[in-house]
Amino acid sequence: MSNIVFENVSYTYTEQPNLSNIPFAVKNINLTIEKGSSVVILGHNGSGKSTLAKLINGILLPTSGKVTVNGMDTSNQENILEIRRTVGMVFQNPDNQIVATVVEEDVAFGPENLGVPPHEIRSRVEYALNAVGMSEFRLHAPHQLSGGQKQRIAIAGVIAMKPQYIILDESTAMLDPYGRREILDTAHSLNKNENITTVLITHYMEEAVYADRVIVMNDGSVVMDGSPAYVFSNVDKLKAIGLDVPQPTELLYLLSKDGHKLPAGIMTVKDAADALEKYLLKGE
Amino acid sequence: MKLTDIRLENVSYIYSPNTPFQKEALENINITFKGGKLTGIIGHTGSGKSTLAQLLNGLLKPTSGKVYLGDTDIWEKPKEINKIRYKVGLVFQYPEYQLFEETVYEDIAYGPKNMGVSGDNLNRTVSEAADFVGLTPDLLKKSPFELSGGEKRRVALAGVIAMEPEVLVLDEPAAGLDPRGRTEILERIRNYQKQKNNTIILISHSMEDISEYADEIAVLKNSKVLCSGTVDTVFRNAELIRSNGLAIPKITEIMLELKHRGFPVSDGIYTTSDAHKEIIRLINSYKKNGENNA
Amino acid sequence: MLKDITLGQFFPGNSPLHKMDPRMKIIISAIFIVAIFFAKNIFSFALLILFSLILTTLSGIKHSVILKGLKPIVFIVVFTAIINIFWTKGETPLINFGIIKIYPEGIYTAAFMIIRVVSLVVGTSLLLSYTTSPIALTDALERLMNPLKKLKVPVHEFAMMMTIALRFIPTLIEETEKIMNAQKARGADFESGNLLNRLKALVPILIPLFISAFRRADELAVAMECRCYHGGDGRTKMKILRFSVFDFVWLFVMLIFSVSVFCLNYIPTTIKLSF
Repeated sequence: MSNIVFENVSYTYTEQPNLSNIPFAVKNINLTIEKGSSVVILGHNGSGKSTLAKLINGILLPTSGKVTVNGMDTSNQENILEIRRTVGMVFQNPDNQIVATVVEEDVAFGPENLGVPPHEIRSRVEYALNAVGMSEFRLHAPHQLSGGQKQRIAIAGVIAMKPQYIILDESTAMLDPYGRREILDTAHSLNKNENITTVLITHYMEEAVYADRVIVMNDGSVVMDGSPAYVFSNVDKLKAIGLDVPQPTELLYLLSKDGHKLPAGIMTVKDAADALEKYLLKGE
Repeated sequence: MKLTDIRLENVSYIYSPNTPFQKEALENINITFKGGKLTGIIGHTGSGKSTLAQLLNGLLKPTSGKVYLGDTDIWEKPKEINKIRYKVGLVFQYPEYQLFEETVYEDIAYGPKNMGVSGDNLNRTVSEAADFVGLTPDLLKKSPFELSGGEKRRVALAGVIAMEPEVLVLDEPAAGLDPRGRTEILERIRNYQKQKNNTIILISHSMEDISEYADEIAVLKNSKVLCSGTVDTVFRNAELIRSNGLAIPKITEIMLELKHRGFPVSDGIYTTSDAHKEIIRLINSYKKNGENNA
Repeated sequence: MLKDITLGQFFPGNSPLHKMDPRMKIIISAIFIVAIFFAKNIFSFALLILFSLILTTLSGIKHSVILKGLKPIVFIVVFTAIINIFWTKGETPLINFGIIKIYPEGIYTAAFMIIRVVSLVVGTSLLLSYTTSPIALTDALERLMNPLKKLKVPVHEFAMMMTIALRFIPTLIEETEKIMNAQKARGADFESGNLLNRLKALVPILIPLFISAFRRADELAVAMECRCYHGGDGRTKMKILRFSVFDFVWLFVMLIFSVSVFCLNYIPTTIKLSF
């Protein structure tokens, strides 16, 4: 069983879960994340998307229900190290997840905690820095790097633990467009080349375009789940829960509302231009 | 309220001059931010945007060149630079981290109090500022640390607005917020500008936001102004911006692409609603052609 | 900018001092300090000077850097030297101005005291600061103190705290700068007024700084847990520290040096010291 499974999972931050009408951060989640896929979880602040992420590697334990990673129950304390090794997490603020004062030492932190022999740590660090394209910075101090570079170091730190899944919990939120691109490209290449399952949690719609699967959260529940094209063809529904759509999607949506027969769920500039060209030339 | 221009004349700024860390952040900048307009500044990290912001209100002093607020050189009387800081309000990136008072009210009042405002005047300016950013009166008694991230951001913004500056400079006011929070804060800023008819300078990474909210744009690249002017004129140069490695709005990209493919699309389209109108126009004209040919 | 300042003034390089195992540097520094306090006469002091000069040359660190490093202690050195000159009593005064009598013993004592302090500062900062990165030093301390773990001394925890502190100093300095600027933009004045006013002006900086530091600590703790941190048990290290032959040569030289200092004290001289 190599996947992440949520079975009827609810979670509340309140300390008295027995009261009625308590606010649930996530409620009754049933979800399977297959190994090898690239998943994007969308939602605005407070939709429960980050809670979902923290439930996966046992930082939070479900108030009710069960989360398993490759069959290991997160609420079983004996599994916790193995789960955290299997599921790597990268957080929002790049400054607050780097531990060491030298890049390579930071990347080594995870394997050191796992008790990996020194020579193997060395080769894992080299491999991980290579995978995120940061080898030449291995002796730099973290505070000399840009936001995007720091996040790549954080990703390398996770890769050095040889995980099967990487969860990027709003890891692009504090970055400029260039840094965001760096992280997305890195995540994409890890998924395609290293066969690592990536779960990207974000509120930037454009980041969902290239995923295999998009899960939309609102108010603690999954409201949409499917391919990017499927999710972005529901423009009304997305807008109703306070999410944007990419500009190309929006343009074609406005036109089809006027009665023009254009395909729904288009997300990129090229696809939009193709569809418009076809439509105009038909001259209907 | 009078419209105040803010003008940079041959401004250069060098960090840590004459040390091994010397770094030229701005090079010979000449630009006027027009009174009563919302000017967007866009550029990559390290292009000098944040340095520019701090030069405008005298937190940094130009290594060479002059900054004029209206007709006064802001460094004419260096001892009175605080007065300039009251006139040119600056909201930093992630400003919620600067909150420190026990109540939201006290925090918003910090700036005006430093200026010597008190009594009814203080009450008025604080509640007015809170209103501009959409903080309800009941929030004023709360501790700022109990609020949500978006609300904290708006408290910090109100803290600067309450000083009633003639020019308001905002460094990435929407950074890190979700789409709902983004729209909310940017709409608030736009409404504030319309009501006060102030000069606003908005620094952003998002070409989409700038094109939606700004009257004028200045594009910064490698410590220099790459191009500036009204949104229209700047986006007529969309190719120039793109070839310099900066993103242009997706919608403009679609229009450029259609133009390349031989469709008679007008230049300077940068919002979804304009593009919508333009495509409808195009569809109709093609329809007519089709009918005429038939 | 403030964040470019490094702590402990480490100058990367490739000198024999840089190459020494950091653990050996700590051991050698300890021996050196003991030797300094054994030095009692002109010959042993001469050897001390010679040894400090050799260390300086081998390190490849510029003399100007070393002199700058001595700046903070100039006042104390001069002050104690003056006290020694005027207050040390001897047999025949060199200069006699009525109440003020200066004896040759006073001058010698002052001179030796200066040599002692200066060679102490130069020697230890060359070994432990200029040629050793703070992180290597922390690492070495942890390894040297490892046996203390048996006595339940939290050696690993202490080293981890040091590492994190070193990591976050530049971040917090940068943050302080940002907060100061933000409050200045709201009219805060840190430069004028009396002491009380200035202390009051710090509140708007310190509160946000503390809040942010706690938030960072919180997030860092979660991030560390996610990377399987569970204390020092079963932890390995990427860097393997091995003493080289070279290190033992250093140790040998150092031992000879201290024995020589000790022996030279027995060569009779006419100069008498008051300690």
